[in-house]
Amino acid sequence: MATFESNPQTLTLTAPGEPYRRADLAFHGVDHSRASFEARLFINNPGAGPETSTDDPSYSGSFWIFGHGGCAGDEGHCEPPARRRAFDFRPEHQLTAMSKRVIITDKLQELVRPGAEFSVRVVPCVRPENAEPLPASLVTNLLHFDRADLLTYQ
Amino acid sequence: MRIVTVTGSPSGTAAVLDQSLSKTSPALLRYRKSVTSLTDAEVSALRSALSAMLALHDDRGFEYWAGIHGLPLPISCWHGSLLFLPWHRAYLYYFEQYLLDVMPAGISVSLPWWDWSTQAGIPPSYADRTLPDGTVNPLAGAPVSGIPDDQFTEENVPKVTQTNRQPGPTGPGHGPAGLPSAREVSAALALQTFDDFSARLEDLHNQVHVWVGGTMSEIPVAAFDPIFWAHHTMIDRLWALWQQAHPGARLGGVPLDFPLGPFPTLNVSQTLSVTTLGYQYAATTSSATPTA
Repeated sequence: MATFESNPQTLTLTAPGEPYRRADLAFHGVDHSRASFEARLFINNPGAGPETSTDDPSYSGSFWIFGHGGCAGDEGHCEPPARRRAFDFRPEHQLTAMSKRVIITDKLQELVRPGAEFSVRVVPCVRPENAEPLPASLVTNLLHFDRADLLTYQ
Repeated sequence: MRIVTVTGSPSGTAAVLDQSLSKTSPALLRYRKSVTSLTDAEVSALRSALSAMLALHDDRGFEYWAGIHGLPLPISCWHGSLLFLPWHRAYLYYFEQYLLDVMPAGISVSLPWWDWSTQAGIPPSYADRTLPDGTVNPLAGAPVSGIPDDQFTEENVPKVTQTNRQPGPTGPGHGPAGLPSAREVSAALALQTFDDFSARLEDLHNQVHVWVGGTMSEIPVAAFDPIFWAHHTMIDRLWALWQQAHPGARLGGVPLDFPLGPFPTLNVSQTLSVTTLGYQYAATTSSATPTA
């Protein structure tokens, strides 16, 4: 039924000026309510898309989302509460947006000068075979996150 | 990494179970084996036990246990969380208990693992839809049942009555197999903190779900595919290997007394030692009985 169309997003970040032994790219508020997908990261390659190979020199890693496949409940079932009440000891809502983290140390050191601004192209990918039986709503505008942080450690 | 185990010995972070759960003698530890190292008799016994679980439609049956992970609601699994590994260890433990309950007499086979990093592709014992005698191979697929029709809507995964797979590469550049490589697994095992290891291992796990495709590719129905259990046993094994390599490693911010619902007798701390849960992972085993 559905054909996947990727909705890449671009981040602009600044590399640290000081030496570092590890660099993580942390994504926050990542939506995982719909289809499963891989989000591939390409440094300083603003034209990267789903056909760009992971053999490309700009490829810097990826994270994978094992998706919840849409809502099986009644209206409101899959909407995480905006805030939790005091004394609410139930587990967190299943669809609370998650954080993902990718260690990009080697590629960042290889591709970006200390202190330089750089871009990260985040490209969601879904196997066509996996997208085909799903409703379009599960694979449209699939990539959504609130913020990304570059975290380095000395 | 290779483990040669000939006797049971405690490993990993210490955990204390109730006395009622800790009576298992180390000598009676089960060994979870690689799918490829199972004998024909063991594969046959595994199929027989799975068929027996499939025939049960109460809370001992395959339908019930597969449904705990996703549909029918509530979806109980934990993903994207440091509870990912403890919860799935508890899940495997309970599933295995019910599987052992219906093993044919005289043989006992624990959940085997599918090492997708070295054995590219679905293992033949799980892939062949029919067996040489013409009967259906229960490891190749299972009914997706026990889910009310109204939990399949126009906005979620389509209703299926039988599992299906579409194994294949996950995209350009991931190599011909498309599965996580042994090098990626080794790199994950070398990570020093539980937070890093758990996050990376969960990512590799997600990749395998997407690679298998079909029913396995989305949370709501993934556990109905019998390969799910061999995949997750591999994940559990890798956690056990990491624990052996990092004795005393802490679980970061995971509350150890967090109850792992819906498994009534297990909290996080009670999943930290596979030995305490009565099993070990072994690359090879060698057993003998004394002779005069």
